[in-house]
Amino acid sequence: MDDPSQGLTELLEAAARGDAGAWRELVHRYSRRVFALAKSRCRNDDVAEEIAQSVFATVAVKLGAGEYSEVGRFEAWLFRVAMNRVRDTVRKARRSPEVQESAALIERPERASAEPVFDSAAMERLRDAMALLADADREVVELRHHGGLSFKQIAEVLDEPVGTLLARHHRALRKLREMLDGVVSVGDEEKLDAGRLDSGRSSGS
Amino acid sequence: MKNERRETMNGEALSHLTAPGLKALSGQLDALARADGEREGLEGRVVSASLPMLEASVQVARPTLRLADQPLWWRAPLRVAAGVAIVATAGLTWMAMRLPQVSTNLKHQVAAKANTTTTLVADDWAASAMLLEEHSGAGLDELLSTATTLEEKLRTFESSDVLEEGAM
Repeated sequence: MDDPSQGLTELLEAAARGDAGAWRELVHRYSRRVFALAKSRCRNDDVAEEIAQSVFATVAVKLGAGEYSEVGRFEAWLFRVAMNRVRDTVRKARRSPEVQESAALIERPERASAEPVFDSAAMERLRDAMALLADADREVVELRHHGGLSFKQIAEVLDEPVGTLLARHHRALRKLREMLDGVVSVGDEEKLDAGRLDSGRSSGS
Repeated sequence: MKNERRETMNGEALSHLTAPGLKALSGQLDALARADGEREGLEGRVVSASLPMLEASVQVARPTLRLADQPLWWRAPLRVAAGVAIVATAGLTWMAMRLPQVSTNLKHQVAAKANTTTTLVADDWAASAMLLEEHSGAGLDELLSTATTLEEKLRTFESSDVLEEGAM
């Protein structure tokens, strides 16, 4: 895939004038990443798509109204909107137990398409392990891997120093590694279920 | 591949993680992200949901004059009429703002002319007074010299009379 930031200024200018083609291109470049970020936290396709649509609707309105001027930070802005929307969804889910009971946000995701070096069971263990991370650590991992942002961009999104985020990312990976290696018993179904439920409560998923 | 950039970016950013286990884990997270990003027809639905909002937002940001339920050709004369009205209003406003300025200029010009006339008259008076002064000075000098001559004549006359009276 080409660099999404290539020709971004022209695309944003055209989209701000209401150019449908430019807007489609922007959605093509970023919708998958925004959706992945939302799905990682919510673990539900429909909720994640709802968040993605809402994020792009917000961006469209602001872009069309001239409330965004391109200064090379579009991705950071987009993912800040996305992260805020994810947090809102999580907060609402925490406040309304019936949503949790409906398991809309905590249902197991559909099995991903075949991954040659990373089977679906391993993927599922990784998802479960991520759900056990602290919110702050998890956000860095998700923005980094699902959002595809650089650490500089993550620093802009979360308004924290790059060094702090690098350290947090390193710590989060070590924790995940330990969990997956069995230092933390991720194979214990009871513990995992509790973790998933906690994740559902704490993250709205 | 669609997510090449993500892999490249991670490769750069995770260079501080030297442990092979963490590198492998990073790769697994990328694979998980790719799997999470898969959703049939996602782009189309996102565009359908957001494009009308973009167009509406652009329309609101740039309002146009139009009448509801009127065909497109009807809008052109309205735009022309609106343009003429705006130009006429601007012109009248400009004139109205300019009139006091013109009036003030006229007043200044009249006052300047009056000042010039007054100066000229004053100059005439000064010249006249100077001439008069010069002439009167000359007259007085002449008169004074005449008086002196007269006094001398009288004195001469008186002395001759005395001589004549003594002789008689």
